[in-house]
Amino acid sequence: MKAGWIFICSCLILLSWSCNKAFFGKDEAGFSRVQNFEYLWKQCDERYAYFKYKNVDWDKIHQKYAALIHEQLSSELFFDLLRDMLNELKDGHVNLKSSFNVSKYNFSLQPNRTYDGLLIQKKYLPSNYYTTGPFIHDFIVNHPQVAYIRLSSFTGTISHFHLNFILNKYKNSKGLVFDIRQNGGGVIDDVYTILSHFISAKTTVWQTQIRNGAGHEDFSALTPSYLEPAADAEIYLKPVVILTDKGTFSSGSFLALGSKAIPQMQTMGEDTGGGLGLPNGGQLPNGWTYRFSITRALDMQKNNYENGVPVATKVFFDANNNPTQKDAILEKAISVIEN
Amino acid sequence: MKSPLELWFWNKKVKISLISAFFCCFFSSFTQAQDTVGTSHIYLNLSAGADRLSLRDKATSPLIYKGIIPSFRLSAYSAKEHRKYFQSHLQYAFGNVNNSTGVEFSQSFNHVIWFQAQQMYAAAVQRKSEWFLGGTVDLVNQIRINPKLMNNSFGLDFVQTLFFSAEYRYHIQAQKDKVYDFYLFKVKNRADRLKYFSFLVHVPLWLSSYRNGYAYANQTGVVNGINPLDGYEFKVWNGFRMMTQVSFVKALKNKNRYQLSYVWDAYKVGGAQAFTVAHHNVQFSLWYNLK
Repeated sequence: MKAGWIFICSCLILLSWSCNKAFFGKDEAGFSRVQNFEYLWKQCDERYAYFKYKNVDWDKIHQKYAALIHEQLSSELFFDLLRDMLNELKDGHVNLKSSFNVSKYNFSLQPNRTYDGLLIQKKYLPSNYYTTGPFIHDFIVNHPQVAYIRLSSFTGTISHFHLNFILNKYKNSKGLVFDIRQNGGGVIDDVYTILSHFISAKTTVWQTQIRNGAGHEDFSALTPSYLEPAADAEIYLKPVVILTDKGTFSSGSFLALGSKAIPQMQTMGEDTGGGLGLPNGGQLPNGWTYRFSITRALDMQKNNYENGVPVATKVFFDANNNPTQKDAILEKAISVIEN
Repeated sequence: MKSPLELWFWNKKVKISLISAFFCCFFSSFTQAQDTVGTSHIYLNLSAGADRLSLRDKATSPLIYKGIIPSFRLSAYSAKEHRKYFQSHLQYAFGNVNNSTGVEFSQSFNHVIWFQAQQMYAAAVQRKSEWFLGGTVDLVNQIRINPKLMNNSFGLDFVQTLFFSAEYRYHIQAQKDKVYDFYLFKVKNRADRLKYFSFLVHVPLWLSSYRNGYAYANQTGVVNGINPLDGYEFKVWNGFRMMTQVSFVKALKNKNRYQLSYVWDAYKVGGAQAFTVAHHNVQFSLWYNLK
């Protein structure tokens, strides 16, 4: 009888292993170029958020690239083709990652260089300027009523302590220059933390929606994003000029977008690089990973600024051709605050 | 600042509800045997084992992740002999599962938490065998952290199942004491010590899941929210599940018992973006006799 039980148990265990196959079906892992191309194309087709806004005919893109895909492609060439297909979306939040390369769309390409950090440190800040968390800041040399705050990345480490310290230090200034040029983004929570120190009442800063169906324009209802003033904190309600350029992306663009809902804030320089869609993440059958935007953010007038949040005041500056050794955008911001 | 998950998880209401639900079921195991006449037993079971976990979430990846992870279980068992029994358990398994295509390697850290309550009634009792029929409520939470999936790196899935359960037990204790001589050692099969094999099969009567919506990621981050379950959808009968268990149970001299068991649990929920999981769980349990 014992032998019978051992036999039955063994059969059941083997049966359960084979039943796994019934649940999982075919293992879809594989290196087929066509399979991986079709998988990536379909994932984008079903979830990417900006086909219509960017006027991208995704079916035509399929035709164009499907003709180039064949099984004899080397991994590198195949990667390059998928990269080129994704870059047709012209979106800095779109990437393809493999163990040997990471594709990206260079959203910040522009003929002029709009930010010169060395020039600012040499000419506009005292040598012993402050560093508080990820911010560098101080009063601008020869402009004792105007403070300069530089943030190069949204590191996710910005705290109310940092902002209380900074805004308390400049509470008697005439205004602030908040420089986020060439800030490629980061953790969006930092944007909320910063903006909450510049409002006195609950404020709706933008609204977003997410892809919720296979149709390119299938989106959820708009969800407003509210902001409360920071509690028991320094609130700064004097003029603030936010400096942006094409290199201001993602969370940087969100800061610029949110500032549009705050009366004492204005943007200056060049339009941002955009990146107002939240990217997802996924994996191809060959193990490479990808991401692309699945949400879209609109301002309160329902304007979509995915290609760049427009500045209130455009100022041209080229640090590569700057005989006067002056930052034209910063100079303009100083004059706006002082006058 | 706490992460959204921490804030949700430690939200007082959720915490109190989960703990209360567990203890209600857990302690009901101890109280149930007291209102019946006849021989009753109550055991507290501690188990440890290994779980061979396979999973695939087509919402983020077509690849199957596999690995062997440790698994621990605390359970309470109360029985009125040859009549009925009630068992509830809380089980936790954690560890990495991997996928390698040979060139690309990905890893996902998993936390799996099960809660199960089972009420069984004897349907047929013979001298050497017993049939039990009843029902089982099973709640399983699967948490996955896979950094390679970027903004989709965090996955949290809930699956709720009501099973029809059937168990067959075959008692193998000798009718009178026997000694088996293996030359190097001797094995006694004592007539007064319970010893049985059991086979348990669970077939779902109800299967529901609570998991991510269409786009998988949610927009809580861009609306200044902290709800990691934003966009989650509750779906009923959007898949299938099966669970079987083979066990060997032996009573010890001091009325405690030990159990060796193998559990196979597989489910698939979520339609086109199916989340498929299979557990092959081998457990060694010690049953501490409380009554």
